Order: sequence, then C-alpha cells, then structure tokens
Amino acid sequence: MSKPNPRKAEHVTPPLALLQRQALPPRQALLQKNRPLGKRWMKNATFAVALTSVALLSACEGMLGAGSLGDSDANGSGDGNGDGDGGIKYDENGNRIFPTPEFNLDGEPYYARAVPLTNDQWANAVRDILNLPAEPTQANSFLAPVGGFTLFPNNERVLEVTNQMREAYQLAAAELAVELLGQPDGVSRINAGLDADTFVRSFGRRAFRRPLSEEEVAAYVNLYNIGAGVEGDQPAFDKGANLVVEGMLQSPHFLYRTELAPDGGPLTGYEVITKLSFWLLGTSPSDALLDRAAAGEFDTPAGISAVVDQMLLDPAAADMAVSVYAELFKFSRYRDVIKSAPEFRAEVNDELDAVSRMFFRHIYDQNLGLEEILTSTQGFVGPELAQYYGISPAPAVPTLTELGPDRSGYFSQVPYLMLLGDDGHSDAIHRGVALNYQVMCAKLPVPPGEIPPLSPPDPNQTDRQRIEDHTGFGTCGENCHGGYINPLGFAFENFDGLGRVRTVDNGFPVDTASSYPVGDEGMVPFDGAPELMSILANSTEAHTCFAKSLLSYGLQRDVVVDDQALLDQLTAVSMSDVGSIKEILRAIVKSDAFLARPGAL
Amino acid sequence: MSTKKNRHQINRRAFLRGAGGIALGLPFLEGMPSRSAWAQSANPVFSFFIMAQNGVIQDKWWPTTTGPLSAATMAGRALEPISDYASNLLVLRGVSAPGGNPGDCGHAQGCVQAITGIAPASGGNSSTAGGPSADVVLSNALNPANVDPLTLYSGTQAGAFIAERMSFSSAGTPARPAQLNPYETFKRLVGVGSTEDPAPVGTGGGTGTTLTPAVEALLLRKKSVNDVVLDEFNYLLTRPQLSAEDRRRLENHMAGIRQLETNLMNTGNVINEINDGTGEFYGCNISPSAMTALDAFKNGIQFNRNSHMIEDLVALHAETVALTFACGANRTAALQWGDGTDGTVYTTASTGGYNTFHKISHQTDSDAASGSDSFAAAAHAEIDIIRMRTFAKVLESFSNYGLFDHSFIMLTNSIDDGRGHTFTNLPIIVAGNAGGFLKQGEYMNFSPRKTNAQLLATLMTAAGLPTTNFGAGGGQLTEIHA
Repeated sequence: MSKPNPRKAEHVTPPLALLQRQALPPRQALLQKNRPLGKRWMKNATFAVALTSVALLSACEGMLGAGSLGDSDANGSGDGNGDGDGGIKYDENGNRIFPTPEFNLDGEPYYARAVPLTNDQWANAVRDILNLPAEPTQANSFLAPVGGFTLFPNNERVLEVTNQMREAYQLAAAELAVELLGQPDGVSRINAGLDADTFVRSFGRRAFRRPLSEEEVAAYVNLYNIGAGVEGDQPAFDKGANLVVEGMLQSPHFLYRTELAPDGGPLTGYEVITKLSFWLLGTSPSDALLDRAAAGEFDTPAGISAVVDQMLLDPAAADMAVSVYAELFKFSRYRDVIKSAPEFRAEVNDELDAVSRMFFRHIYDQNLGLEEILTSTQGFVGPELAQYYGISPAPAVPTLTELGPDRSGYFSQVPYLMLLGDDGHSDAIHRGVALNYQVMCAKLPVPPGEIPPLSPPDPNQTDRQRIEDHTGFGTCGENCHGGYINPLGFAFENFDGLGRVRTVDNGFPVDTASSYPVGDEGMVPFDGAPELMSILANSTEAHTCFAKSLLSYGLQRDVVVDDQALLDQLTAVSMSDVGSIKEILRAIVKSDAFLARPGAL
Repeated sequence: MSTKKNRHQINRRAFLRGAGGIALGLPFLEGMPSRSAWAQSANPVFSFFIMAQNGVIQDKWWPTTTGPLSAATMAGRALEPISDYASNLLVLRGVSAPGGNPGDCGHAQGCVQAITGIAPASGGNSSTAGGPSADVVLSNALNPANVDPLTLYSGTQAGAFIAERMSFSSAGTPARPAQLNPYETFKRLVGVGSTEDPAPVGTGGGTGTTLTPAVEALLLRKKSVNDVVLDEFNYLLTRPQLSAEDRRRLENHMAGIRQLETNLMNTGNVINEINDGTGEFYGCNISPSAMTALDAFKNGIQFNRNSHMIEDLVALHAETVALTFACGANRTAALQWGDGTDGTVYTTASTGGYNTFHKISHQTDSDAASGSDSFAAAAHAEIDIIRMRTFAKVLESFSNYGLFDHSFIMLTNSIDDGRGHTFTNLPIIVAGNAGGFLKQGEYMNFSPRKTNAQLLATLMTAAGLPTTNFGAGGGQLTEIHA
C-alpha cells in the first residue's frame, strides 16, 4: 500500500462548467501565483531515475510518448534534482517529496525552408487549384509519415520525399491530367484563362502560391506548346493546359512550401499567406488571398492579424484545431477499443471518435482553451455511450450534455477512460503515463526492458492496491510510478475500464487521493479527478505543454529549449482571462518564429 | 494454383503495344529498371525480408529434429502449415540479434535489429537503427537510383506506439515509411489505367519493341515535364537560404527525376522480363483471384486490428512482391508484419476474441515481461499456427511465380519469446535457394550461436552483393551455403 497523504487540497476550485468563462478564477491571479516561466525547468534537467531499478509497467504498450534515455542517472543514486545531495527527501509526515518532472523540450528541428506538403495539404491544394468538387483520391495511396519519432505527423522531420513518394506524386499528376482531359469541361473548369499565357500565369500563381517569373512563364508556355502539339482529338488548348497542369503538379514549387526570403528579413507576403493558409485552413491560398498578398496586405502586422482573424472563423481552422488533439490523444486508436463486457458493441468505436472530435470542436468554436478541456463538466454523449454515462433515455445523436460533478474535463469522459482501461478494470498506469506525457509534457524515462509480472487479480484487492503492490512506494517502481505515474492515474480510480462511475472496486471503496509535484509547490495533494484537473489547469506546466503542442503543429517542427521565451509568452496567453486555442494561435502568428526565417531576426 | 493462362498479363512490352491513346497515360515505364541496370546479374536474385512481432512459443515452434526438414519433422509443430514447402526451406535456430539483452523497450529494439544486424543507436519506442538495413543496402547496390526497395507494412500505423521500425537508410534516422496498401504496389507496376490491358499471353519473346507514335508522344511529354522540373530543382538548390536538410531532401528528389531521364533515353530496350534462357518470362502477370482481392483496396485501407485483416494484407503484400519480382521491377522488399507491439485481436480457442496479441505474448494480463498464464501461452501457440498458415500463402505466391530458384524470403521476428523481449533465439526461416546459393530442406541449430548479422551478410551475397561483413560483422554464415 502507498502512504496516503492525509492532507486534502486546499486551493481546489469546484468543477467548472463549459461556457461559463465569467465563472473562471481570474487568470491574472493565477499568473501571479504561478510565477512566469523562466529557466527553472532546467534545474531539474538531471531528474534522474535509475533505469535499472525502475519497473515502469506501461513498457511497450500504447499511450506512451517518446521517451529518453539520455537524462537518466545511470548509477541509480541521487534524487535527480541536480542539487547534488544524493538523497531522497521526505516531508514531515514521512512522505517522499518528488521533484517536478523535467519538461520535455527534446528535439532536432531542421528549420526547413522547403517543407514538403503533407498528404492532406497536397489533397486539399490540388482540389482547390484545379477547382475539383472534392479532394482527389490519389493522396489515399501516399505513404503516411512514420509515427512515434515526432509529436505530430506534419513535422518536417518525417515528411520525406522517397522515390516511392516521388513516383506517387508523378503518378497522381499524370492521373489528374488524364482525368481532366477526359472531361469535356475539365480544363475550362480550372477557371484559369483560356489562352496559354494567361493560363500559365494564372494557374501557375495558384499552384506556386506566388507570381511566376518571366523565365518560369516561358518554360511553361513552352511546355504548353509541346502538349498542344501531341496527338489526340482534344482541342489544342486543352492538351496544352493539361501538360502544364501535369508539370506544375510535379514542380518543387508546388510540392514544397518554401521560405526563401533573404537572410535577415521577414517572410514575404506570399510566404506568409501560404504558411497561414496551409496551417490554419489546410490548403493553398485562394486567388483572393493571393490578390491581397499582391496588394501588400500581408506585409504589415495589422494586415496579417486581420487575415488570421478571418481564417480562425473558417470551419477548416476548427478542423485543424481538432486534428491537433486527435493526433495528441490518438483518436485513431478509438477504432481498436474492444471490451469483453457483453454490453460493449462495436458501434461504440465510431462514437468514441465522433464525440471526442465534437468536444474539441466545441472548445475551439466557443473560444475556450486548456482550462475547459481539463475541467468542463460537459461533454458529447450519443446513443452508444449514454449507458456508460448512466444517461437515459439515450440521445439519438451526440448531444452536448451535463455529465455531473464526477467528470471533470475530457480525461474524465468515457472515450479516454475506455481507451485507457484494462478491459473492465481501471488502468491507472496508462492513464497516468498519458497525462504525464500529453498534458504535463513530463519527461519520464522510458521503461526498462525487463518488467516483473503483475500479480493476478486478487478478490481481496482493489485495482489500485494491485498496482501499488507492483509499482508503488517501496517497490522498484517507486521512482517513476510512485511520484509521477500512479498519482495521476489514481485520480480516476472511480471510473472503471468502460468509463463508468464506480464507488467501490471489488467491494472496497475506491481511493482517488494522491499527490503530484507541481511547479514550485512541491507535492500537491488532491482527491479525485476534479481536484486534480483543477490543479493542473492552474499549473504553468500544463499551459506550457498545451502551447507547445499548438506551436509544434503550427511550425511543423520540434519545439526545443531555444523556443523557451516564446513558450513563456504563449503560456501567459493561455493562462490569461482570454486564454483560448484561438488566442494562442494568434500569438504564435505574431512571433518571429512564425513570421521570419529561423534565426533571421 | 494459378497458371499463366488465367492471369492478366501486365508486362511492359504488352503495355507499350496496347497503349493506344493519350488518355491512357504512361505507366511507370521509366520508373522500372532497364536491363542495363542489371547487366552484371543476368539471372537476378530477389530478396524479401519479413519481420513478424511478439516472438513465438519456442517449445512448440521448431521442427522436432535437426537435419533434413520434412513434413514428418514439422508435424504437430507450429510450422506444420508450411510443411508442403519443406524442400524449399531452411529453418535456422540459434541465431541472435547482436544487441544483447533488451534495454528499455525490447520490441522496438528488436525491430530495428531484425534486418540491420547491429545494435540500436537509440532506445525507447522511437528506437533507431545502428546502421542501414539489408533491403536498403541491396537496393542501393542493385536497383537503379530511382527505385527504392519496396517497404511494406501490415498493421496499425497511425497511433501505434511502435510503427515502422524495420527499414532504415542510415544509423540514427527515423525509419523509412512503409506502404500499407498492396494495391499501391500493384499500381506502380501497371501505371495509369492499364489494369484492363488483356494483351495475349505468350507474346513476350523477341528482342525489341517498336513504339507507336502515341507512346512516343507520351514519352516526349514526360521528358518535357522532367526537363522543366529539373530546372526548377536546380534553381531552388542555388538558393542560399536552404538548410543542409533541405538540400539533402531536394537533391534526393531531383536524383530520382534525373534517373528517369536516363531511363527514358533507354526506352527502346527497357523490356526486362526475367529471362530464363528460353525467351519465356516467368509470368509478369497476376491471377484473377489476386486481382479481385487487390481491387478491394483500390480506394484505400482503413486498417482494423480487431480482425484478421493483418493476415490478409500480409498474403496480398507477398503476392504483389512476387509479382514485382517476376516483372523484374525491384530487387528487394521488406514487410513488417504487425506494429512493434502488435495488438491484433486474434480469435483463438484458448482466449476467445478479447485479448490483444501483445498481452497474450507476455502471458500476463498486463505489459509485464514475464508472465506465466498457460491460457495465454496456448493462445500464442494458436496464433503462431495462424501466422504459419499466412506464411504458407506467401510461399504459395513465390512458388506460383517460380521464384524459389531466383530469390529468398527471410522470415524473422523482432523478438524470440514474447515474455522476455529477448533476441537470442530468433525464429528464422529462409525460403528459396537464391539462384542455387543457399541450402534448402534443412533445420539447423547453431551452437554456439550465430548472429543475424552473419546471416544477413550471407543472404546479401546470395542476392548479388558480395558481403563479407554486415551490421555488427562476424563474417558469413557459411553453414548455409549450398
């Protein structure tokens, strides 16, 4: 058994309802309480846990983020807080005091100036520049970026143009050109002019996201002429324009988003609008946006802010925001959830995904942010999930529903609890690991290779007791599990593996109390998910982690120690009274990291 | 068994003859290697590496006795489903990965050693390799510059804790991305819209091809596009703002296109069916049943681990690999069979349909390494048999294409035993004699142990790239030389 801390949280706020922004505690007060981030994480950089003595049960399963070996204290001595005392600290009650986990800013950014389009960006861009009614299907066959090496799959490091991908691009260009030529109005539907010069300039600007140079115009007019001259019954213009399309779709100016502004200078207006459009709208800039770029509208901060405000209202921007969290919290795994409970139906899988997307869509649309993600008592419930929430009658379609005071935020909702549930049992370890990585950006060592077996279920034990016997205080798992992993998971012990509320486990009352090291406050006690979520919602680490994810997705690169100052700014935004996903996005756009070539300013 | 007569012929020559109009487009003619690329290897040997996951139940897997392999020595063992091919197989016991005991994530570390034959460069689930993998090295040496090794996958990709971890370009870099959809491999062979080209079988003899005017026009279009695009790459590469990584990526991209130019110049003699000396090709064509199965994935795949989709995809991948080899379109392929902690929910008599394979392999209802649940052990043994039935389909494809004398398949596993993440006794089968280079029909148990680096060096030599040392080194496994 652990040594439960008898203290209760003293500064816990009650569960906060979604949409009640005015009811939230003043963010300024929070900011004062949680001092602005400096380099204090770094003092914990040697947070050391002896790999050889740690049994991190979650090992090679599921929801772990990328781990690191590099910062482990190989000889197993010391408390890892870098103070050289070589000892473990305890409070006056004999409870161990763990240092705040190191914030993960690992990475190897390329700072690429020529970033290949993601598969989604390619499909959307092709749809829009060719005026197609829907995304072309060719991207379905493109290779997916390799997962697990970067936080997001749009990261520059995993957008590799292999020969297979080059062939796929080429094949797609050829197929699209063939399809266009096979339709009577295919070429005219592109709506880019009906003579060679106009078509090359107009379609070229769309494809390359900037005006073509005269040399480029000449090269493509030449290509047009070759195309117009080949055999075939089609009109010469169609054949010529067709070859221009096929060529431009294979051009590096289309396939790569470039930032080639001169050294020391900001991005050009075209580069800015292209970057914004691909990021926020997922596609290449429209003719109208390119016209505005030509007019110099995006050469000023005011002009950029104005267009960002417009874009943030676009449903595509909401889709982008949802996709950030879909990646982060691995919605793709919802389709694999399976339970032995007889009431579990395969139809649940789609609903797990759908209601999760609706929740984050709602957070975005309602100008909300991390606090509500962690503490909202509302969520979407559909016909399949209603029974797990104990809601009757079940709504016919997913509906925003008050879920009651036990459920605080997304991680207390059925999808996440079911995904991180050990069949019908709770799964404190995976729940705790996920929150450490995904909400706190905690850099925990990866688990050892050899993990002792978990004892079989014991009718005289709760799920928590079983975990504590295996990994808790006094075991070889204490260093990682005792202070970091188990506490965050234990807060959810009142939810079983199907996400249902429970008050007893195996006949014993559930125990949701624990403590976790937060900021400079030491081990902060809590009892249950609502208290824990409120603590995390008030912590700088969680807001910085939240900002880091949005920044990494937006910049398409790893966020590292060099980004600390910007992260501090974004953290302050997230913790402010107006903190929301959208406000963080606005702040990112104003940063040098976004607006200038890396290192240029 | 399929025969030539009931297959759709898709050889390149037939395609060229059949390409009657611009609307058909040009297939990846120029992406396929020309005979000149293999001038040093008139009878090319093709290599196919397969890596399964989660180990096997060791005491139920191996044949009963070492020495000649037969249906009798495989009966009652996990290998029984492949016993029809006993004479085409080498079963190798006592081969380990060189990385010693697993460090922090045995699954990932086992994966990255499987065909690199060298200890990992880094740990954790994002483990990287200590060197390039055998498929990449073989491809670089034997394929034209614009042809990558086929890199294939059956399993969860998005959201997987350990996704692609088999094929590596170099030490320390992320794994190479893999193709989930076997239809795409097929499509690369036949190009745009030409799958319905029913040119008569048996017209593949002769020494050259007269291009139709339409095809010449298509080639002109291709070349014209490539010229423009190459100029654009050259221009981009002059820009000083690019980072080193930008340059590497753009140069790689451009190199592929440049190679196309070379191949286009050689269009007159690109016909490259594998010639067995009689003017007949083995069969660059596909069976109707395989075509039907592939067509199901024409519009993409939504992978679902809660079914046996993983097994179906492995079999179909193998069919397209065999087809690719028979068409002479690639010398090497690698297939990862399951993500690193393959959580497929197999239906077994021992556990029904609930538990995931990963947990079953640990024989405990958790991620702990060393469980002892006898029901789980029985379920794992059943899964081993299911996988061998799938491997039998792989072997059948290679048999149908007559590839056993011109290739090898190396089946291995990221780990040897699901309980301990260990790499010391990897379950390895080598099928095919690789042009007569390899022994067949034997079960060998090496003591002292050999390493997979030694095995890989031997196989690479068999594949046409003489290799003394590979990965962690140690020379060749001469015991398996014919």
